[in-house]
Amino acid sequence: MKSWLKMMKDLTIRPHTRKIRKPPTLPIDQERNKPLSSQRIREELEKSSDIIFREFSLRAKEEIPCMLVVVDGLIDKSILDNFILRVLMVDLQADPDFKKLTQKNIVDDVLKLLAPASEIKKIDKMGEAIDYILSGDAVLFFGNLSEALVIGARGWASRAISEPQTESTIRGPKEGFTETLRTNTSLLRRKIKHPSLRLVSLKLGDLTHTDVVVCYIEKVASPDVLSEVLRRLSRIKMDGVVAGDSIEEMIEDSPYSPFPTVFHTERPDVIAANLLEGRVGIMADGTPTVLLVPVTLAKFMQVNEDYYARALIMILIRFVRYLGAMIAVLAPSIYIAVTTFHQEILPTSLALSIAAGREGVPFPALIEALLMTLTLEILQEAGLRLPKPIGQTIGIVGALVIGDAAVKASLVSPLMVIVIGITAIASYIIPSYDLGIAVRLTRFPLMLLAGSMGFYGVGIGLYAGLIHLLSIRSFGVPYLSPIAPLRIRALLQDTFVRAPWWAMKRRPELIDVEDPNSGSRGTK
Amino acid sequence: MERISTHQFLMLGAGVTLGTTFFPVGMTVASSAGRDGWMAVIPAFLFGIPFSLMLLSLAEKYPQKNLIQITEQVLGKWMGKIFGILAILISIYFGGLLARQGVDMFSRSILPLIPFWAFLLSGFVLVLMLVNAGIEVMARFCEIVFPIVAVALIGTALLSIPRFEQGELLPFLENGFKPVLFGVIEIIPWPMEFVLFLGGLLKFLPQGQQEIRQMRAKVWHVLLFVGLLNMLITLVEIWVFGPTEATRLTYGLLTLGKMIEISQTVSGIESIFTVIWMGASLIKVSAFYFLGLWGVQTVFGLKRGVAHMFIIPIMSVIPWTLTRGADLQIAITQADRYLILPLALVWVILLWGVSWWRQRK
Repeated sequence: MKSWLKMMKDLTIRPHTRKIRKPPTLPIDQERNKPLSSQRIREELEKSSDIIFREFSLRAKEEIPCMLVVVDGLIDKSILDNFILRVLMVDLQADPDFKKLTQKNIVDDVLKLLAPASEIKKIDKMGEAIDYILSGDAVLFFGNLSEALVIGARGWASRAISEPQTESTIRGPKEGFTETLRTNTSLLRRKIKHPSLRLVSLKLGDLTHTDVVVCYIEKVASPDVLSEVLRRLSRIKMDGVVAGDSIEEMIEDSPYSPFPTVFHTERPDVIAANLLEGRVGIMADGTPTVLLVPVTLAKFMQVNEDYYARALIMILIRFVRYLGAMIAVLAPSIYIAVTTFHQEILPTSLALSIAAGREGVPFPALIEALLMTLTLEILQEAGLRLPKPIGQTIGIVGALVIGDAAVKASLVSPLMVIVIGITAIASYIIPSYDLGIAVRLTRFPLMLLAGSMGFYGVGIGLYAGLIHLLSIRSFGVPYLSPIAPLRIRALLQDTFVRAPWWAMKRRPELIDVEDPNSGSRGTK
Repeated sequence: MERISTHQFLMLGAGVTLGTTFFPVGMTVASSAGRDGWMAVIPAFLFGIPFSLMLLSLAEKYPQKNLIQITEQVLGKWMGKIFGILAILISIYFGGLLARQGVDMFSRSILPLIPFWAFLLSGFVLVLMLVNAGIEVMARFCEIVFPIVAVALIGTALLSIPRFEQGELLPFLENGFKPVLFGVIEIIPWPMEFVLFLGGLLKFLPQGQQEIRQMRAKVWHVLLFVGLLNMLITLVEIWVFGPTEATRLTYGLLTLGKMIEISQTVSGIESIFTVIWMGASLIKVSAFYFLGLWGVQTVFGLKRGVAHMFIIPIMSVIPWTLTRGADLQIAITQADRYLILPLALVWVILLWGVSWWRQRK
């Protein structure tokens, strides 16, 4: 009983205040703040085969034994060979001044002399040394001194910058983030070349020590949102943050809601545009996806291309997108409600044609719709991760062969196939994959309610959904803003419609930004 | 503490005042004033303005307090408790009646075979969801639902144009002003429902001087706009059905919905509109649930969870006591006329008067 109560209590605690899984403690973890010892480092790390210990001597006034520790595969070997080892072992040895150096001041002297290395700094703690080595830096130890030098020489095989497959566009930039954090920050920096772009570094994961960067624009991002982001991130206690996406679950507001409250993208232009609107981005090493907070429901209905085409065209496209979303949510349940309870709203000829189509179908409309929707879900899931040619085959077999056979066998009516087909196509209009899944989930209870209580049931489902959406917040911002609470400017500027760029003179007021002026004065 | 904006006050006020008054309005005023019944609607709603303004002036003097707390401070603890208990009982009873009205609307018009407890249960789940989410969420709910209800009412009126019977409205004032006055008296209690709700809402209103000034103007907007909507529906019902038939129809608007046909494609759209009317009903029932909840919390000092335990059983039993539509309408009218109107009148005038008199001294 006690453990059950504890489990229930755990489940009701918000994830960003919850501590999960205590990491294993090694003896070296107790020594993180102790003075540096090359011997101790060696004892601890030589059990791993990928750690390279390169020993050599510097012939100064006296012979100083040195040890360079790097991780194979995380180091740029050309930097290591040409700008560290070669300089230390050949160039410096030839310098007559170098011969006068003693072991006592060698760390500071080498720090000054090792000019070719752009990132170099002195450390004196065990924990620091281990973190730098395992992150891909080279750490140079001198004899038994309790100080060492960290030389930035990270370099590993990484994916080239390419267009994200899930966010392809016709117009606009074609570059996407990669798995390397520094590449990602550089892509962002190329978009916003202003000192107000801040990149705050953190490390998450007790074992993975994943590098995380929180990015925002000073004086634009709300200090409250920023401090809340940093607070939630700092409270994450877990073994490993293998992918940045797992951070989402730890910091989101409504963990039991199907609706996403954190936005993610792989596009630098999207991140840059959102930072300019006052949002805060979270990048993690090893993940091309960057998280954005706070977000509203309307954000998930927008794509970057909306801002690259002309406003008038985008207004029409957004209208089609919202209409598609409505169809994706409601089409099967309305069909069920009409055919089961409210035939009176149909014109007689249509009612007769539906009745003729359903003749011989042994199931009620609800079961028919559930069967078809489940089949659609199975087909979608089956085709998602398969190689493209097989995925296409599954689509053809599912949609054409099974659908046609089901109609011919009188298992489903032709109209139901049309309704489910339209629903499936309409659901692909929703630009966000996360929101698309939420829509797919909400369709099922709505169908059940429509099958049991007609339009009244649909109403119950819609109002319950609306109340749920109204009670969600994303980092303090109401999820249905700017519709409720009403923010006229944001509503007219960039929600159902997109105002021309020259009319966007102020930021959309969704987030409590410090500087509401967008600076986009336009040309008109 | 939760706070709502002035715009949310407008929408919440309009949503609560309108509620489902558009169903009985045609029948009620036509039975007293005949074909001139539509003239009675706006004056009746404007009657609520002085009382609302009195409450706002009390909110200015006693910030962050609801009407019960202000009464305890101005008239003494026991008077506060007496008025508080009366408000709790009336709001729970009236909320139960309105819940039954919502159920009645569905079971009579579009889903006669579904047992009424199924409507009641699902409706109460929604009310509890809304109330649990808090007044801010309720205000946001009204920001979305009230405009939809208003548009649907205007849409129903416009789509009814082909059914207008020329001559049903004329001549104006055939029997003089007296029947219109009776019509006004019939529906005067309706804006007082809003006044009573406003008494509980005072605690959550914005407190700034400028915002209170804005809310004074918004009170006018609320009552005038809701009056206009109800007048429009009354006008359409009389114009389509005539005064005699309008008097007979408990849910005249649903009958109008049944008669509407759009381009010979969609007909009998009342089943679609009932989803929207359901939102209006939800706002009204939730408002009275809120009122009961705030009352129980203030008078008895109970926590929210315990207060729910007190309200849910009573409010869910009331709808079972009335099974016939006619009985229900009589019960609602009587509750309005003999409970809500006197309580709101006496309470607000007494409290405002004593407060004003003390300030003068």
